[in-house]
Amino acid sequence: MRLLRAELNRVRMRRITWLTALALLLALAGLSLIGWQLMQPPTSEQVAEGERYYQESLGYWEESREQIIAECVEFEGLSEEECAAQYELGRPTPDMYVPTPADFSQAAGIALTASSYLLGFGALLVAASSIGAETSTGALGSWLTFVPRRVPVYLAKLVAVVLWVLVAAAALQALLVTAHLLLARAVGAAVVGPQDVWATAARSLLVVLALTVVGFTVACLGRHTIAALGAVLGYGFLAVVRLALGGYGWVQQLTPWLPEANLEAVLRDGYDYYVTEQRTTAEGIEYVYHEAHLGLAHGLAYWAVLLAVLVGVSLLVFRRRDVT
Amino acid sequence: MTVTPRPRRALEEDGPAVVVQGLRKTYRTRRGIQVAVAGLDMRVPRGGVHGFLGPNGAGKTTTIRMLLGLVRPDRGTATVFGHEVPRQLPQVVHRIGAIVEQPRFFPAFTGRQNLSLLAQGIGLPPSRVDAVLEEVGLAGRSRDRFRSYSLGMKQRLAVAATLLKSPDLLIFDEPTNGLDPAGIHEVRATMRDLADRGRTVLVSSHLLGEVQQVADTVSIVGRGRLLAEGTVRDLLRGAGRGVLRVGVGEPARAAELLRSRGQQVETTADGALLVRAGEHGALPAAEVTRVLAEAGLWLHELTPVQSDLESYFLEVTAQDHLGSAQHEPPGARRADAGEVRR
Ligand SMILES: Nc1ncnc2c1ncn2[C@@H]1O[C@H](COP(=O)(O)OP(=O)(O)OP(=O)(O)O)[C@@H](O)[C@H]1O
Ligand SMILES: [Mg+2]
Repeated sequence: MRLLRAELNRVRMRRITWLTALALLLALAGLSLIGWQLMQPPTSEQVAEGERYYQESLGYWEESREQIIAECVEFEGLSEEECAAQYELGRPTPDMYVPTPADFSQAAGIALTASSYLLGFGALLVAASSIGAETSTGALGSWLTFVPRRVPVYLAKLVAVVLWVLVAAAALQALLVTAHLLLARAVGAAVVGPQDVWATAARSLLVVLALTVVGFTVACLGRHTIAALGAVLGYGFLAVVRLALGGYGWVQQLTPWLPEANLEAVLRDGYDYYVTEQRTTAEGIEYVYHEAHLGLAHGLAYWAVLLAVLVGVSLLVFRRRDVT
Repeated sequence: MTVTPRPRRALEEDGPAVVVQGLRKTYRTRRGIQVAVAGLDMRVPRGGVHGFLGPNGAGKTTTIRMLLGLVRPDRGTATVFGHEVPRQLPQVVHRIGAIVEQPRFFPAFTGRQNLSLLAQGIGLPPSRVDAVLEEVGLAGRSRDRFRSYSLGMKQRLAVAATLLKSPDLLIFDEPTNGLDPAGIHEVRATMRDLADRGRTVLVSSHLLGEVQQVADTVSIVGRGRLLAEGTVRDLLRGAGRGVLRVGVGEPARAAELLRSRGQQVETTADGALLVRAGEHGALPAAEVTRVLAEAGLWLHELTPVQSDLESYFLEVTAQDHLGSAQHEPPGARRADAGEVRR
């Protein structure tokens, strides 16, 4: 407990903690601005202009009735009634010409998914540098001559940074959702599904938690903040390579094992993807697309195991490591 | 658990403050296995200043790290106040204050913040931090970042950190590195003062003259092994034993005469003779006087030569460099406390 309190203070005293929080606050303000624009009702000018376009295309549609039906009969070999029915489906409607504003849950959903990754990377940075700076400056050595029990030392550091990050992220996400609620009220947008939005916000905290632990453990293993950032960059590069190879079925079949796909499954309550199958038939090569789904439970289980392994390995290494 | 002045358990326990037996540590490097400490035996008596001497790379810092549980020995044992380290380190760590190599703290935190964290870690009240900052004369600069401190101020902060615990054993690894003469004097006075108050100070150093002035006992190591151990006086007596400086009117004839009595004789630049024990042992000073006087040679000087720690150190470590070295036969250099190994 005493150790945990000291570690919480250490995180609090670090400048990077506050700088990151400030940067994220600004980023969330930017996201709210985007949300505000998405929820804006159309202006009277937009409405008038839309009306004009609507009338224009309605007129054009009515004018070209004969011609369209004739072409349909000729090229598609349908009866006149069938073609008339098809023509009727193409009737322009006013909402095609006037922008429809996003409702609250759409706008907040977009903002939350974006902010989850922003907060996640901020958390990764704070967590990685909390242990990385201590190791690379040698301050860890001084600390261990005061508190030599390595396992409690490690756990206190991990728990402290996780607590900090989660509380900060929860506050920031709550701020973002509240901002969207207020903005929705202000612009008169429909407030539907706030429960779903809060659920997304809660799941986004799991993403933040996962990235915090990744940052901490990788920096601990690599003894430097740079190690964690490098690992993330390196992984990003691999992900780009994978995207480039994304057309291959075997690459798509890896999806359930990819950390980012599972993170998406957690964040979005399930993740859908396609697997392409190549079949050789009498007429040639045929591609069949199978829809596949990664559930929330899969994502949670995957990350629980991954984080447990990371924590376990880095703890074992930290316990036995020579601090020089 | 709040920590106020602890009962000095030192009084209840006896035996040496530190005992090291067969301690060995190797590092795996790109060039292969690097032996840092090669079966070291050492004994630091309780109370007083104990010098820990050795040339660069002798394994002093590595040994200190092993005592502090920072580095894990390959084999061998070490005990501090009777507690085996690193296994029982948590039981004694509050009695050990240490500075290893350079003071290492968070560069972006102030001196005060750095100490506060350490104090919190062991449950000390913040007032203790102010007290130790005052004690080392850093109170005025305690709100500056550690990064902005001069080397001497960093050292002082490290000393302040060790004093937080009011330890029974203080371990200083080259504490005067980078200090000005006044700073060196101050560190020396601090060590002496701590020792006089019953604490044990283990200080590693290259500055032999300085250690000679302050240390009561020393261990000399080379290539990770003990070369000599004992009180400074005993070591020096051993080193200078049997060498006499003789001033005489006819040095050439006197030298001839003494050689015929089985002594090794050198002539110094100023014409005096250095007389050393030969194969059949040393002639006592009185005997030298008699032999020369009987031959009608009258002495105007006769002094036993005092060796200093520096020449003694060079002597023993040189032997180490020339002697065995690459491989170490197990137990070949076991030395008991107080015994001089040559
Ligand atoms: N982390 C390490 N990795 C590899 N080799 C090391 C490591 N630490 C020390 N050594 C090697 O171990 C040997 C002993 O080093 P150590 O620092 O203990 O010597 P020292 O007596 O403190 O020397 P100095 O007087 O120069 O401080 C040296 O050869 C050194 O190169
Ligand atoms: Mg050293």
